[in-house]
Amino acid sequence: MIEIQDLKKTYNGKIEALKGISFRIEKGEIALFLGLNGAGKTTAIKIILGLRRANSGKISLLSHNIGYVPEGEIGKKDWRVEDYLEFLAQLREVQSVEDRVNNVLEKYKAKEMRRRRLRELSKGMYQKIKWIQAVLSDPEILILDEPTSGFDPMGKVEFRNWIMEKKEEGRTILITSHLLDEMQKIGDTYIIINKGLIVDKGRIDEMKGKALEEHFYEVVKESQE
Amino acid sequence: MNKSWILSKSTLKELIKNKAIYYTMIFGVILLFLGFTQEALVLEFESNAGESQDLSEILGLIFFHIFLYIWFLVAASICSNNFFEELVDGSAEMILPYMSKKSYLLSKFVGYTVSFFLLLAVTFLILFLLLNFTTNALNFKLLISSLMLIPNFLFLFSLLSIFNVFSKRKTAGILTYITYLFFTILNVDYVLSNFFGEGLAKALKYIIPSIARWQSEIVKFCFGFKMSDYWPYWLLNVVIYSFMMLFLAMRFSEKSEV
Repeated sequence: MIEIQDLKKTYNGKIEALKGISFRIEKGEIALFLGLNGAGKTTAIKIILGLRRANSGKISLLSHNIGYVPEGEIGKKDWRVEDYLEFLAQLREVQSVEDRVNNVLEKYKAKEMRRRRLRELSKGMYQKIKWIQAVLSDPEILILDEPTSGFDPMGKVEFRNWIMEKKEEGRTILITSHLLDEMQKIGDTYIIINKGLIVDKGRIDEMKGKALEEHFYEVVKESQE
Repeated sequence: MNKSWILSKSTLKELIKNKAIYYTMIFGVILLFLGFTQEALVLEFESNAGESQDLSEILGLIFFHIFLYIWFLVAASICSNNFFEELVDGSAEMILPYMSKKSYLLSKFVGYTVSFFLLLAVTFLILFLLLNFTTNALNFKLLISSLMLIPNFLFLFSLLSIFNVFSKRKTAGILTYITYLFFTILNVDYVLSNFFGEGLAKALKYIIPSIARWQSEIVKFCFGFKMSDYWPYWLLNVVIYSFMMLFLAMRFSEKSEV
């Protein structure tokens, strides 16, 4: 479970990135956190992760064992995949580091990548390593910032299967993405943020067949008028 | 295993694998070889001429120090750039959710400091072998005194880090070098008294915040001066280091906020 109450964040005392947002994601739920670029999604995620400090507000988390897939790069490109994963597993206090890394690589059919350097990976492979590292410590909560960028159609299906598997395991998942059609297939709930404010939230199954993309467009347009 | 230890160890490993470290070592050996041989000539001249302090000796010292600083700066740049790259390449973002910012900063600083000391120690060892210092007592003294100058790293690293926060990397390197050189030259007694007069030069010696002053005192100590005469410099430098590191930590925290 993730619960955010009246979260506010201002940069340099001028730019209001978050103007008091509140939402709740239940255990085992996939929530889609949607918004235009600069709406405040990444700021909110970074506050939940402890990478930014909020000016005010309250965050309640079911567990502090969080897996995070960032939008950007994940580290120095000279790292070998195996070494990088072992390093992160150590930092996250995973038991039997080598076994865990081997198991995860095998499970996600990425064993052939183990000796490659991060810079040698294709965009899709790099993206895959990003979500493999997120599950190293078997986290209760997964926060994914644009996790599907760079995937080909096969990669998208693999990602969908992976996320559904995590949902079945009872993980709480928060995803940001601009691929709304793709996300509508996997999400349970949606939260739409615009200019630092939550402008709409609801359940995907209550949309009665309406496309999420269309709904998002209408809501954001209305909030801007 | 302790997280700080894991991070410091990985920083050290990362730098050892970095080719730039080995280029820096070769560059350092060549540069310091020239510096040492020049300095050895000056010191031999000094020992023959007794206590005389003429311009050629001072120029010799400046020459040697400039070589030393260029190399220190190159080595410190590598550590500093590596550190600041982590803020933009996502490394810090992957680590910070799992440890406090304070532990992260401290572990990184320890990792880079140890790497830098190792780099300098190995370079001096190569020089030691190249110049056959065991048979040359004068050069051996110089080697020891140069090794004792290693705390320069703290000053350079801090300067470079601060300039890095405010400006682009190349500009930061140039600014650090100019600042460092400025303090170095300003700390040579001859320059001080000629530009500012005897009275002001005496006052400036105590006011100028420079590790260069400290290092020249260490050199003097190695050649027979009493350390107790120079405690104000030690104290001054401790205060300056503390201030700089505090300032850097504050800027780091602001930078990572945006």
